[in-house]
Amino acid sequence: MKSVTRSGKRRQGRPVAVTTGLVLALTLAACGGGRGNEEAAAESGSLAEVPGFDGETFTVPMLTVTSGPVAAAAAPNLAGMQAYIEQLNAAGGIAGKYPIDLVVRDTEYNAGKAAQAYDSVKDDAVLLGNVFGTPIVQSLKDRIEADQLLALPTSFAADYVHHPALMMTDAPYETHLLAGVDYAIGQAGGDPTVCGVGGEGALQETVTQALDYGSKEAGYTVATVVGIPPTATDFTPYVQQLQSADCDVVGIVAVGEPTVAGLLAKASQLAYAPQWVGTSAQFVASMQDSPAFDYIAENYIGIGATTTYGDVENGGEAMEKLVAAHDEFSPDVPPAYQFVGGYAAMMAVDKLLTAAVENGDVSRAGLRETLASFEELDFEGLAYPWTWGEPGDRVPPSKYLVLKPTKGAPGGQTDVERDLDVPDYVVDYPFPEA
Amino acid sequence: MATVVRSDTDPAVRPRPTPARRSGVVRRVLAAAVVLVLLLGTPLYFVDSTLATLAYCAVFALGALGLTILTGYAGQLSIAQPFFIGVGAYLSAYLGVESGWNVLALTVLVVVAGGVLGALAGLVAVRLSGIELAIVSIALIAFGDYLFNQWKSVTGGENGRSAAFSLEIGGLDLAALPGMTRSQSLFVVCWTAVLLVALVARAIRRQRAGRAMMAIREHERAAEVIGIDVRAYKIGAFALASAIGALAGLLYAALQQYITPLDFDLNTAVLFLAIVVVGGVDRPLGAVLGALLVYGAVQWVSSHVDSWPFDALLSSFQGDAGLMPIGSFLTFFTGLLLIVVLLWEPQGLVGLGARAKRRIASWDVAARLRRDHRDEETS
Amino acid sequence: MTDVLQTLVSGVAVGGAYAIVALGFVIVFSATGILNLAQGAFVLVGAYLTLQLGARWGLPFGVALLGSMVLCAVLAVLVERLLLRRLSPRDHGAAVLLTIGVLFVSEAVVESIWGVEAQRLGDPWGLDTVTVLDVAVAESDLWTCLICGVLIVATFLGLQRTRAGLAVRATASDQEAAIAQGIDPRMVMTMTFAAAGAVAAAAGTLLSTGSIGVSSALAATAFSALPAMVLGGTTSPGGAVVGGLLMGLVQQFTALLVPDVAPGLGARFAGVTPYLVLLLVLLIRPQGLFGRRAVARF
Repeated sequence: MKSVTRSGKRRQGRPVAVTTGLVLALTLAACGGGRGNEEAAAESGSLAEVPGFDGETFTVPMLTVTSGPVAAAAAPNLAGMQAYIEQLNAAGGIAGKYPIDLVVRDTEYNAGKAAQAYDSVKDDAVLLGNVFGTPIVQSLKDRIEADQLLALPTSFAADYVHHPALMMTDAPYETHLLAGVDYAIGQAGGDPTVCGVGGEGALQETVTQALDYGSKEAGYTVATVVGIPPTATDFTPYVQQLQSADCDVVGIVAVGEPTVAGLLAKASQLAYAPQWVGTSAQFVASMQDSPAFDYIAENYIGIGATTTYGDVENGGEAMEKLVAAHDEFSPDVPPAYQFVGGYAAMMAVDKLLTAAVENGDVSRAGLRETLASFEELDFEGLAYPWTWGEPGDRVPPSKYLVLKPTKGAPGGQTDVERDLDVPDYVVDYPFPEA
Repeated sequence: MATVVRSDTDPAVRPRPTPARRSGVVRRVLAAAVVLVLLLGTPLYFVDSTLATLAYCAVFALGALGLTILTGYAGQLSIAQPFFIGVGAYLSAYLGVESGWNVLALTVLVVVAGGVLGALAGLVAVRLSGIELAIVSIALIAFGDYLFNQWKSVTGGENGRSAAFSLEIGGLDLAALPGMTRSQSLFVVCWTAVLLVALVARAIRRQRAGRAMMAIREHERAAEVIGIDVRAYKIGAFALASAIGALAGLLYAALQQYITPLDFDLNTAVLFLAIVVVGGVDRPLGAVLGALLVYGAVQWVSSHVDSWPFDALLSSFQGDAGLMPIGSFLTFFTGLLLIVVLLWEPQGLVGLGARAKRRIASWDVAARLRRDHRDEETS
Repeated sequence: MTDVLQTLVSGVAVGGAYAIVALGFVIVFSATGILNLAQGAFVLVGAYLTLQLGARWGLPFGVALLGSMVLCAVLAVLVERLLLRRLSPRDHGAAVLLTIGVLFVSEAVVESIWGVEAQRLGDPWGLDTVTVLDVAVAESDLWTCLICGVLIVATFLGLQRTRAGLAVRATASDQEAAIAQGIDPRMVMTMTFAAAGAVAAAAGTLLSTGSIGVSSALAATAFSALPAMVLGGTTSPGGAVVGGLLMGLVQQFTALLVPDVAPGLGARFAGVTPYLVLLLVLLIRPQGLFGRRAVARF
């Protein structure tokens, strides 16, 4: 038996080594090598190839959320973007010649995963078509800037207005919140008490600062700003806080529809009915079959800058095209506000790339230059335009509209008043320099 | 009656140096050479994005090594490793970025802080039995979530904060080793850390401390009876595991350069569980293999979601054709791995290796027996 | 005063939900020693089955609920039979990890079949409230408490008055002695899992009533109910209920008081307080409020 023991001992390490070897071999095979395999950029055709443009196609990655609780909020936005691109590609692409290849990556609303997703797409991107969610934009914006890329954020924080790497296409929270509060006070008459509600943390801070500014400029009283944690399931304490502060007008900027829906539903149960003013991005069509719909329709208004889906009278030809795109490319997606927003954002990308192609330079620096040369970011009636120019000169839309929840309407809401002027003090809001 | 027990000086029983012992040294040198080749050769072969993924695998392997000691050796099922990783990450991010602390000082601080916090957790844990410990460790994750979200001045709240601190020690920048890109350098740094800690873990296993912990794992009362200081070893295991976790946190922050509270939540905790289950919880190699396989697989799927077969099977967005949304797939995959591995090979990959070894050894015996039998018959 | 009463009511509502989920945990743990985290999966699947049977296929709500409870009981038994039984009965650690695997797989499957968006359950109570003493009590909360009470009573009666219950109690007390008496421990395990599955379906359904709707976030609620289980004593069904109610009350009162008393702690603090209470209780009384101190045998 001695020889068996000896050979048994000799083999002791081997199966473990074999397993390790197998795993490593698998890793090698799966990851592939390829260092030094990158092709050198070559000059061909009339436009020079750059990262994200191979002479024929533009590669536009989207860092959005397709899983988890935030996915529902991101879906219509993404669908709108995709519909535009598919419609564009069907007509040949940018300038009729260069189709756009959308690469969708899921960040799971997690900055860590987003960082890795960004790493995997940044080398083959002409610009980032979408970065969804404030925490994600926050975590990536410095790197996007360092890589000289442009990105369109679906997040409307004040810091992004003048940021050179970011191209906001909808108004920031502060603009709509303050315009809405102003409108509600005008409607209510007298001297109503104003309060705010924000998602606990950064949004609560945004609401507090914005209302601070508003109260100083317009002279109204702000009683309290309530923060709601994202995990809240019972909203009684928050409604109670608002009730005990005697709020008449409540501006609300929260992360998702569940929070808004839950809060409003609980308020209706506790028979508390202030004038709720929201930035309409939250209002998703699914609230239509909520048992609290009547209360919401009665007491909630949303402020926006985007034309309601299907409103051809105000949206014109562009709206007709949009509806056609929806019906052809994403008929299953409910036509919510964000669908129009996403579509309009891609329209801006289209204009940018078309202009850059005309200028003969689609490199990252070239795109920035072209973008800074726009005097206005115009959406052909789908949304109110931005005053544009150099990053430091950008001004959010100076008009807004008021939306009311309406059963059966596409997107669950209709605009009740349009083309209202954003008050001067709100236009002058001191958005931070980059 | 002849003496049955012979003394050590009797040539019949004195241990002779067997060829196996000599080949042991050869084996060790060979293993070291292989490891060195892998460590320095891999960065030369793979592209940066793959190296980045592998560096993350290293960080997860490091965190899992802490669990190897705590759960594998000492048998304490704690789900709270991400908390200590988070502490390490936030400490180094804050002090590194805001106060410009040197990375060496950060490493020392983070390891000490992790150890102290772990010891405190251990003090509480010694009074708790298995299930209570598991649940209190969940409580620690919840508390971590609160802390990381609430202490905004340090952590940046739910939007997270930058962790782009400098990795220079003296004149050497760990993120820019001579002739290497950032990804290459960090790959080397992270896997070197894993190597060092794995060697330490392996050494512990072979020492008295390791055996004491395993005795506690098998039967706590019996261990106490034979004189093992159960309290001290449990607290020590917690402290060590947490210190390793905090170190993993520092490297994680350095890699990602931005951290948010979501990086240290319950999902991460379950990912670690999957890693140690798949790899094998009671050997350092298990942590490494598990991290490579589980985390590596998850990352590989994420980046190949546009190609076959995933683009057909998984839906990237609402309205895309597919059986399952991509995010759900990763959850599904982790859960399925846990189930499959636990049912078929609870010892993980390392156990698979051990089983293979036994099978090979038994073939040897069978072959030998058959040969002996044949010889008998023909003679 | 109304404020306090209102918060009390909301605390009981939130706590009642925790209590029902925790009850399911305790039922399994007391008889088998397994921390069955798959309970979260049963809660989730139960809610979605009620959605499917009721809102999608048009059955009346009560029927949908009962149907879901039956189906979930079957699911739980399948999990137990096909998966857990293959593990060594003493290996509780592996069992916990296996149930986590089941939880994750269920979450993914549910998301694949029904999508990730939150959906209305279609319950008959909606947002209707009943006003008592100036305090608005949601009907769905009333029904939650009622059904929770019924389940508790049923559990107690089942355990104390039936032969099956006797078998479960005997196994929980001393498995070997129970085997010696001719009680099949595998039968006991099957029965407890079936009961846990049914209770989970009720919990999931009730948690999804009102405006929140059904979503895969329900699985996380299962984790939140774990402290209630340990707080009350891991082997006491009544303890689970008391623990759940206590947790709910602490949470809601903290949410109400923090902005006035200690705003620096933030609105998230309310979510941490149940764990703090748990820790406190465990340090003073390691077996929980109603648990019995385990006697270690060699």
